[in-house]
Amino acid sequence: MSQVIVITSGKGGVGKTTTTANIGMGLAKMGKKVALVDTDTGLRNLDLLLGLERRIVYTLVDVAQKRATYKQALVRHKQFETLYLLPTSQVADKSAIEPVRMKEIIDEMREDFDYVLVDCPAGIEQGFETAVIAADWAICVTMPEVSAVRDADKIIGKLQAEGKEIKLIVNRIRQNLVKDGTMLNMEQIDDILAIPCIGQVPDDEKVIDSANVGEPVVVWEDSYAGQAYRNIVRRIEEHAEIPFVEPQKKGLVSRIIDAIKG
Amino acid sequence: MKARVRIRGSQEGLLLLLEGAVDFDLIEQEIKSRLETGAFARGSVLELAEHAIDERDWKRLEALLKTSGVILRARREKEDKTPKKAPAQKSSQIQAPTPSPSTDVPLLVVERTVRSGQEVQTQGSVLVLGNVNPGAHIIAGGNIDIRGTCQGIVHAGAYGDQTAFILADRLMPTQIRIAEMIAQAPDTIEAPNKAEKAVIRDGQIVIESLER
Repeated sequence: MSQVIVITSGKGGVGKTTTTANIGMGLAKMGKKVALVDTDTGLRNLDLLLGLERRIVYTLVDVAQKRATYKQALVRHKQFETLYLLPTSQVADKSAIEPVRMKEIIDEMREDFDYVLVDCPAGIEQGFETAVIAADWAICVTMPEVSAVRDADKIIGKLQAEGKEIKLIVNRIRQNLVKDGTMLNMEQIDDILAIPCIGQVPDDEKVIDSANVGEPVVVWEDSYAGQAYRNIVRRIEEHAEIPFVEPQKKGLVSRIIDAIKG
Repeated sequence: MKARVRIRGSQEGLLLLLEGAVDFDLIEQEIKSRLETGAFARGSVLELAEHAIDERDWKRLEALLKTSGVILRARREKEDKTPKKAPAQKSSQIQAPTPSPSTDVPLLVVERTVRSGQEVQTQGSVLVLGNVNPGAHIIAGGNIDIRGTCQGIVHAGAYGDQTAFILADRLMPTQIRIAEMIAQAPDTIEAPNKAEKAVIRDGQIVIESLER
């Protein structure tokens, strides 16, 4: 049974596209057949994060306007052959795709994939409506920061009113700022949002690097964010119960030992 | 009988009731003061019996209400009074249940947390079994009782009732409004550990603790 999951947030810049790319690649690495759909028409980024921007021929807008089939528009990942991207147009904008037409396209795609992950744009306007319409359930990505949580609350309210189930990922956590109270802690976030949490991802500079090179951190062994995404993937696919732990920076002695081991 | 102008909630919406020999100045005065307190939301409908006032006064009243986006509608005496179907729920608004004709508007009970961007509006009082998150609005003609944490904007006595009050298990709203008074939260709110009540005393909004 295929699952269509929308990854949304309300607020921009909290990590929806990064999360979509990482969960997508993580699932594909397990052998699942995954399609990632970019609906941020006009400001597309998903193709960049996957390193696929030079291979785009047709886009979601072409498919919406029936100049191409979705199969023609899909870009297959070279390394993970069960991972596909349905890119969108950088030239058009979000008015180019109607929610009703989007639902038709996704319903067609369901047959062919285990997972369809829809990357939602920031905001609550037509772009959001288009991304959300065909989803079975939603992942709300937020940051431990007041404006991000305020926007997430609004988004969750809208999704619940449409009867969608939502799970939470808290991204870009800076543990030192949580400890001194500058960033919100999980209890404060849960007081407002009150939805089940499936991921707590630390802020990791390697994520910036991964965008530069077009390879999501989920496949980087030495990335803390990568490890968090690997856990998220297992919670989604295997319903694994993995406790949330703070990434431990290795102490001096451990690092010396690692260096000696070479 | 003393001349009086009243506004009452009913099945069909808000009714303008004229008792005794009411002249137009009295109507105009009453409506103006209600409009100033922001009692009518834009787009709301005020009904008046068809022949209650003459045509010239009708047009004057209609124009006055229009400046605040309120629609004046004639209420036909022998009209079939079957209640209108309840409007479809919009995702961000909750309508009060249709009240019975001879009693006051019943208590609206909201059995969930009200999230950011959502608005609860009722002509009577409201009980929220959940939190009111920052960015949410509760607007009630009567009182507001929140069994949870209140962090949004709450407006009790929205049609001018200065005796209205707001109760919450943890009262920490961004703004408290009662009738036409507004009080804004201090810069740093300490989360209270007791239930509290906001009322107007001596011309200002005060917060009192209460046991419950």
